[in-house]
Amino acid sequence: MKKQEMIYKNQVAHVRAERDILALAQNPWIVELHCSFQDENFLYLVMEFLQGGDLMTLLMEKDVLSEEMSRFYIAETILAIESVHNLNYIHRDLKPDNLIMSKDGHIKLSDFGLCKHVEIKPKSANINE
Amino acid sequence: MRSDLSNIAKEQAARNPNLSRNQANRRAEYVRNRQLAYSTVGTPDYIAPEVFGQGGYSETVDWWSAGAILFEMLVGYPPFFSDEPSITCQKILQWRKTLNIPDDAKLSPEATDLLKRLLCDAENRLGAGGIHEIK
Repeated sequence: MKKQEMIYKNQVAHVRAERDILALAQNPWIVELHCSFQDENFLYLVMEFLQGGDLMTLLMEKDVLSEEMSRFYIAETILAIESVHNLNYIHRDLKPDNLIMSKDGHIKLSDFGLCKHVEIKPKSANINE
Repeated sequence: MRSDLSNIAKEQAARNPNLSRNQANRRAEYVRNRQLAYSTVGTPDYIAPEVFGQGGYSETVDWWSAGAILFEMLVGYPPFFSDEPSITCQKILQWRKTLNIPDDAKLSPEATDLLKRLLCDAENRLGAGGIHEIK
């Protein structure tokens, strides 16, 4: 990312938020950040390569998913969101484009540019069980 | 890239006989719309209604988004989509009137129930913890 452009577009806070949560999160539901570094003009975020494509692309191909497939993806998405909340962040920009599939077909969340740090109180556990 | 709407609808219907004509039309409209929108700014389609208000919001906005994504997986287009992002925002704010799970998507009662419990008031929305047990 070009630093000049980030400043120009007022995205410094967004990029920082993204880098912070990616560095903090060490769980299978969140795209892995291998490292970040910078030089004079650029900021680099080195991320895990996910070859499965995103959910939007999958929907573009398939139009609709079966209830069985949807159940699988939404269940994984919900676990992924829970893991973000457990880190005291709200994602705030969830959409099919931000749900990425790993090569074995599991969901990972990406694009945390709009995420917000908040104190999330633990809910009384297992209300639905 | 940009092709005629009715052609896309026909293509969709031919490719996926499980889509009803109505669903194929809505889907075609959405796909075309999405192609146009890609070049501009982000879409408001998955944003919870309370985010637009002054009253503040909590992490449960992410559960609303999950509901909107689930709707799109099952129905083929997001629940409040429109040609105009501002209309989408208005539809989201008036979700009580505008949320419509089409009969021709033939969803199971469980799927319909889950959608209604995610796309609802923040106070009544399913929260964290065991939510995956529902389906």
